[in-house]
Amino acid sequence: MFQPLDPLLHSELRLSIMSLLISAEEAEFPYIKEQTGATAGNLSVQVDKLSAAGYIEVEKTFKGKRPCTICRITPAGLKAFEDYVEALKSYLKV
Amino acid sequence: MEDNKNMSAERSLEIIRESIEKSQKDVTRSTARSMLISGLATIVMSALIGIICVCTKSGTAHLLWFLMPIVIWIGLRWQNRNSVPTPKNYVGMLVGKVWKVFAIVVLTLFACQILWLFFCVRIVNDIQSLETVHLLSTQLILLLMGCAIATTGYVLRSSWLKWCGFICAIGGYLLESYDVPFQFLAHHTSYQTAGFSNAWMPCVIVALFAFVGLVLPGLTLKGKE
Repeated sequence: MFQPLDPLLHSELRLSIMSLLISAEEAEFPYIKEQTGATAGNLSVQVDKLSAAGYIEVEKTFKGKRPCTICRITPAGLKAFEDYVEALKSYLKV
Repeated sequence: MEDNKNMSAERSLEIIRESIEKSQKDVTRSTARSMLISGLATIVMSALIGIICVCTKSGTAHLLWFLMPIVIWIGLRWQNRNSVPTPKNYVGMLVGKVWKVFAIVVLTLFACQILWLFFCVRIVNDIQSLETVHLLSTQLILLLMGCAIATTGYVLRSSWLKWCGFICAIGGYLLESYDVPFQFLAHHTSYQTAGFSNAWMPCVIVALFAFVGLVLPGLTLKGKE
């Protein structure tokens, strides 16, 4: 029996963002942009979606005079990611 | 990256694997660089202070140790000057904090020692007290540095580093407690030379420990990349 996949995570860009944040405590927006190869606008939209779902926490701060956006995964995001990987296993028959 | 919502389970797993691998690689690279820069800065500073001590025949140059945090901070800023900031992770932060605690304890004790020296010499004019109270000795530095190296070994899961830390802490403490470096120098040179080694010997020891505790683990992490 296939388990349903979280539609919010079942998207290349959002899954990539979550996977990057899972092994780091926090990451800055330019780093995620560089790693995913996404445009700033698209990335910003996906980050907002994940943030609205409570999967990540977005902190807007300043580094000197430059604005700096820091993203970190929340416990709810971690749980959703674990559930997503569990659900994937049923598709792969692991 | 496209926002493809109809990807297969295999593709999902591939994205997860690639992203985690990329992120871990960057975190490892950043931790390795920070350790290398801190270690090299400590070695250069030790050499500089040691040379000044030998040239001026006094230990006043040891005051330069207070510049150490600034030197490391400048080194790390210089390293990250053009690069995209790498993410923080628990391992890197834990290693950084272990060495931060070591630096705070040693520099605070050193500051107390200087204040005590000032108090004895300038205020109460009691040189005798200077001989009896040693707030910061080489063996204490060795013990603390050895503990920092062993803890770094535990955090990085490196057996050789753990054992290096234990051997450095216990071996260094015992050697210094029984005055082995002094006796060795006195036997091979003169008591005067051995006595003067108190000014430069800590620099050699700190440089050696910085190599074992920061440069070698940094190189090991870089190798793992």
